[in-house]
Amino acid sequence: MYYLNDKVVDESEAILKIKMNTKFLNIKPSIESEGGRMVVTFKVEREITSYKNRSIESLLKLYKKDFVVQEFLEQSEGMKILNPTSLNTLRVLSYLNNDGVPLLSTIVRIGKKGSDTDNYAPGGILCGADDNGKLNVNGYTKQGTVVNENFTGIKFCDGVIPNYNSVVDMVKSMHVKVPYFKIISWDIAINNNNAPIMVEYNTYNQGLDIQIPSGPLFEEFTKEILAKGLEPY
Amino acid sequence: MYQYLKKLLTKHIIFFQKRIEELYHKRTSRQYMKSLIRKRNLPKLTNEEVRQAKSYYKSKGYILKNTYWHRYYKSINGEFHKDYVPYDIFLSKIGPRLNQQKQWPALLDKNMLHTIFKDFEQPKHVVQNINGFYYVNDQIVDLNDAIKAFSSNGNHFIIKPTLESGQGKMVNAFTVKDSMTSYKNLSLVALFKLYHKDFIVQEFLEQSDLLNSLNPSSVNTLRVVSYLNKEGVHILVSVLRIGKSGSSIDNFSAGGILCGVLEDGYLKDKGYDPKGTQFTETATGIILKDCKIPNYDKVQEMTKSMHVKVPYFKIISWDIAINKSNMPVLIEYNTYKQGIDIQMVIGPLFGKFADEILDMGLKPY
Repeated sequence: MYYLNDKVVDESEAILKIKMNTKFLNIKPSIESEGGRMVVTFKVEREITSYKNRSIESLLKLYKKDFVVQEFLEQSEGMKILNPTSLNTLRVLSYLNNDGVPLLSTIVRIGKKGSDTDNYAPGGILCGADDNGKLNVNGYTKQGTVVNENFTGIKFCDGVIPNYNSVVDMVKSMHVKVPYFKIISWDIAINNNNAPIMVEYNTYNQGLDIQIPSGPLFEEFTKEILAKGLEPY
Repeated sequence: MYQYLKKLLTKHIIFFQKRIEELYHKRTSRQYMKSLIRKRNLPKLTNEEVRQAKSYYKSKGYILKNTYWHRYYKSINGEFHKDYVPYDIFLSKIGPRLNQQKQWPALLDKNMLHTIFKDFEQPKHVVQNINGFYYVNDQIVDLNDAIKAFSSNGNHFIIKPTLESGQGKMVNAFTVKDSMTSYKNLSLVALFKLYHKDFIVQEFLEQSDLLNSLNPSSVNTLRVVSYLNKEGVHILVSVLRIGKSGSSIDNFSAGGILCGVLEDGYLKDKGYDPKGTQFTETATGIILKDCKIPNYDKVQEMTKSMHVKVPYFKIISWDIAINKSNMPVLIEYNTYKQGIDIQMVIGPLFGKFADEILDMGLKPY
């Protein structure tokens, strides 16, 4: 079923809506997508998408069902300078216990030069951030290279996540909506008004490699969480 | 490589798992109906009726191994229809193909109803327990605050488990005075402990005067079955459940009356209890066919708008009450193991969508 503005529509209406759009769009599977697989950015010109020159119809056919087409997000200048070709997102880990939602760690994912995704695996950089949203001195690539500046020469230690307080508030408010999961990895972007935008959340198969830039995951909750790991469930 | 192997292995396991589930559902439902037929000594169908039912299903690509449900429904209402939907086929073939099983655990949590259907009227929730966390007004609170929430709300409540409850199990109504409940004289803390985790406490719903007059001791709810296809949402059938006099729940199995609802909201002239006793009026003396469900068009509208929020399920049974202001209120929805015995009062479930739905029941999934 195709949906437009939360209403069921037929395929031709959905195609028309995409056709009328002049901005960059993202298409991604809505079930079981990880590691940026099948996430594609495209633009429509003269009814043809910029993705392998497919028609809109054949692009949708490729995704078959359970997918979402979104407007490409214009990111905050503060995030864009880290790498202009990718949407550089935050990966925030939160933990829910009876006292609330403490954040375990926050890192920034910076895409590889020229890459349109910020994923770590294809050559991006991970850089940790402190409680105030200030970036750490060093970032790391998957290959283990330690870097202290990005491809355009900006020192990480000069970087600050715009409006980091709102990111923290947003994650805390979102986590209580899904108490089924006590540890959640949130992917959050910052838009061009410096407001946090939730991109997706991960509860299953969450990568833990962010410990490379930001240290042991559980921090002061180590004892509590490890104890839970031993309980029957 | 790992992903490839995993896919290869799980593909077969999933296939067998589906087959086993299918067989299990067929077997258990057949055994149940067979023993019911024997216990009540239900009259047999005529040879011609058996032939008609079998050849109808054969023409749709199914082999009808038994006609238990045709027999059961006819024994209650006296009407034979070749296209009654047998529960063994519905449960094993149609249910899993029309309704995505992978969504079941998450979307069926009754604590999620307020999120998924936030734009629709529902009973007010006082306290929720989700995965062990107490919630008041959608915020996590501690046990003390959860108990305090009762002082600022009415004094008549419903408590129910939010996961895996069916047929009114553990659904209890109670009042509160000084932190003591009327349920077995348990304190609120003890009552919560009894439910452990994953439950919801709602304000008791004051129902429409008309529905109240049918049986005042229970909230008498509609069961509306809707079907979603490319053209939109269609109401397949709709019935009203009227509780047994003195009973606080309206469940049919607990001895209530089931009565079909016509397209215009009027009740059918006859209702039935689970033993097959026919009623034309309620215990309170109300003639069924003179009753019109208040704002029935709004019930239909609401059902249709709600169904498009959860397209993972193509066939859904909705429990809907009518409140004091005669407006529809969502009580819960059922996608897994929906009972379809309502056919005994309203006729074949799939109606004009039978061909389309039965066809889907044969497709791989």
